[in-house]
Amino acid sequence: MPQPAVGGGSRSVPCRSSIQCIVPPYMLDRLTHSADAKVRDRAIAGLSRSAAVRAVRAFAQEIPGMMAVPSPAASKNRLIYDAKGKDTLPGRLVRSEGQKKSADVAVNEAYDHCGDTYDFYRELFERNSLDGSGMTLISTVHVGEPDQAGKFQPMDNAFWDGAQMAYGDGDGVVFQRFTRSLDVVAHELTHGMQSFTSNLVYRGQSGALNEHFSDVFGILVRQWKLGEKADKASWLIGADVLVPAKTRRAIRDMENPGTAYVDDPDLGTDPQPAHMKDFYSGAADNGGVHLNSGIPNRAFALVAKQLGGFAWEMAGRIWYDAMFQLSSRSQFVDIQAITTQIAADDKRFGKEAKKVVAAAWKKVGL
Amino acid sequence: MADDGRCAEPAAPTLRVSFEQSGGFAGLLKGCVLDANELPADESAELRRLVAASGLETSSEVTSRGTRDRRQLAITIDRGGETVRVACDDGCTPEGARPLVAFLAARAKPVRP
Repeated sequence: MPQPAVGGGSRSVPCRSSIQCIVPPYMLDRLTHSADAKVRDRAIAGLSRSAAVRAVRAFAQEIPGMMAVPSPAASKNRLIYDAKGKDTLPGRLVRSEGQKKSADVAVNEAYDHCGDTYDFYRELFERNSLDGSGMTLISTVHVGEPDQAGKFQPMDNAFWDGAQMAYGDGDGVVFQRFTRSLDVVAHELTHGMQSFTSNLVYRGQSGALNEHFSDVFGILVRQWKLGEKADKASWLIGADVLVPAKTRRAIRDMENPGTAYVDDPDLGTDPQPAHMKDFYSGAADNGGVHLNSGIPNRAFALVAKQLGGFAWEMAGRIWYDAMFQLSSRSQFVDIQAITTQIAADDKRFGKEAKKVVAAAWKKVGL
Repeated sequence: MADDGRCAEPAAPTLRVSFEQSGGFAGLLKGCVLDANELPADESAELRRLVAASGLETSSEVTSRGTRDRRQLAITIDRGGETVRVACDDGCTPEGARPLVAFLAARAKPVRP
């Protein structure tokens, strides 16, 4: 079966030639001075290639639609690939839209969770896939990474590479298969969707908002699938991908940031702040994108619980609209202002929504 | 000359490596500082071999763009006065440095921000 190109074709995760990766030029620079003519020529060619790759990538960052693979009928279209424990994406196609279940549970999890996320956005927000035009949802399962001896091991991570999702199987000690979790899959897909909406820059406060929206819609997809009301629902992100232990409940707790794991020998203690007074201002994690997202996460959980009912009906709609109104450089004060403004629409959200939203932001220090 | 009259072993060159990992879906913060002269002999030799093979000889900062939930890496190599700082993510780690990153990641412990 032919495999559609994904953002330029098959590539390795550390991507020497990928459109997604900046090739560090310092090595090539050195080699251009090599006494060996062959080495010198290859280095010069490599520098030219990397400059071209960087130019295309910068363009793609500005126009994410360039990276989207359209679906044949502009409708739900899932393609699941298998990296077979290596790091080349997308890998081998193992299940396409409409095909019967695989014998591989990770393949079926990726397929089903992608479908649930597509259905969530389609049914509740009338959005046709990530780009609104039926973009194909591409996932690769069983992604690996090399150890110090060069032997591939299951990856302890899941990520969005700009064109598709990639899932590792975890080390079996701390992490399990990342495809197990519907909220993880919906989180990654929402990263993709954001590249077609606010496209929040992945650094500092705008990056923390990017993570925040992925957590919000990740949890909403799960609550919607399970039919959970806000006051009874779980607000834990990634609980299903952790190997159970007394010191860990989840990767993040949206309702109580900073409590998902405590004194865990492998994870440490959850570093997410729950209030602006504890805002992380260091350089790690792209300026704390996974840390400071705890602050708006808590505000959203407060709003959803206070408004009551199903979180996707009121709070989710306010945040969905906000995602389209923010700009790529938006900060926390911008989402505070925009969600409060959207909530002021009495006809859609009732008379109390604006007060509830404003109170939630105040409670987290904004 | 040593006290027993034999020639003393030359001091091993300084090699100190600091490593910080952050981000990824889990947003974990981990790190370690390894001094080759304080490690057991086999670990010290392995660290020296991996640093030599890494090709990390010039400071640089590179990141994958358009990706989300990649792990961010910061490596500082101090060879005794000569310091190289490399910041990258696991999507664009130089090929030769990947075994070194795996070695360091395996020894990294959770750190508070």
